[in-house]
Amino acid sequence: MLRFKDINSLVKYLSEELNKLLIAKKVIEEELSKDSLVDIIEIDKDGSLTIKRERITEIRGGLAEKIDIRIKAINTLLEEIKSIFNDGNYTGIVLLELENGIPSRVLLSQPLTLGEGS
Amino acid sequence: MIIPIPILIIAIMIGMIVLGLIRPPLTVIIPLLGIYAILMLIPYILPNFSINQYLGIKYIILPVIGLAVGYGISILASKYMNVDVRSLLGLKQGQRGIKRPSNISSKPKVEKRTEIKPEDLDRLINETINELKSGASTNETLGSWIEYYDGWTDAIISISRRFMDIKGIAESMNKEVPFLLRARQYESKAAMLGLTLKEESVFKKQKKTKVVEERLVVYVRPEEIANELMNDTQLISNYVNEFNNIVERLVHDNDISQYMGNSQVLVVYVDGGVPRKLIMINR
Repeated sequence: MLRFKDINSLVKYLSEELNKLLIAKKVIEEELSKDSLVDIIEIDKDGSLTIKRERITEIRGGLAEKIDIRIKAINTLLEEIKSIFNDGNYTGIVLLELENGIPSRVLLSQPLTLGEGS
Repeated sequence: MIIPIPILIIAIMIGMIVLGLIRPPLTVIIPLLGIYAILMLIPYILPNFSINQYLGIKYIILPVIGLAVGYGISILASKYMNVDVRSLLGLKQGQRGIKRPSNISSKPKVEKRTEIKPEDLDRLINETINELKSGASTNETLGSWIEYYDGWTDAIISISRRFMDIKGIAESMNKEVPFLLRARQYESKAAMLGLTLKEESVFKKQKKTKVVEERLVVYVRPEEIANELMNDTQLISNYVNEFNNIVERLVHDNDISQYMGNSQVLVVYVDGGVPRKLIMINR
């Protein structure tokens, strides 16, 4: 879960993510069609560096799919937020719930106030 | 009558349903049904001999229905829910035939086990540990995705910005957790004093509209998410640490920055959202 201070900042975060993903998707598709040669630098868990040169088609391995799933998930979330809040804001506890790393739900909550028993 | 009549019928039905659930072989069902049929036919064979008004030909169908229902439930349960009712009831029918082969097949297993040599043991243990390690480390905190930048500087700025954002989020979560926990304690104390905690009106109003269907935007009470938030705070803190190491490396490692020059770069976030992979596009 990620915590946001209000709906606006969550929407801003998600929109930025969406933009970045869409740009990356476009670039990847372009490069895939050209089958260009790329250099890959990878920092392993133990801190070691591996550098290799490969054709981009060889490394695509599900990444494009992952991007698509993410784009779809963020889109549906943004749509639902818009349909509920209609550019309005909500301040309180705004949590973005991630399922297997993919944004899946928005949890809203609010600090409680003390009242008389009802 | 000592036994009230409907109870007798209900007992017979339950008995037949249970029998059906167990799915006994026909050699058990047929004699039972036979005995029941004879019982039901008694008033017809001996007209003066009436045991019970429900012991009549009209009710001969009841146990058959009971049996069929039980049988049906049993089959459906094992087919669609993978529940073997027979083993649930503690009965393993037809086990005798199967038992022997299972005995035979279990023997070589025992032999196989003894085949593991002590020198292999170390290797096996290491393999298992590695497997467990990789299993534990592939958490999907933030998932994996790709971002594109025109140049290395842009990429570094964006990665650092993301790092700062997430760090900020982690910090605010860290602050929130004790507050939520306190709110929970507060509520239990208030309850003891005869007070309840009220939701603010906006929250209440919007909450009502959500029931319509499964929503992606959900209202929850703060104390409901306290535990989850606590776990996730830990998770995000670990993530921030890992991210921090990578950012340090990307910014200060001369090998990387020299190598990157000013080429276009795809930053691949892997391992639950850590930018470990950089793909440079050569033009």
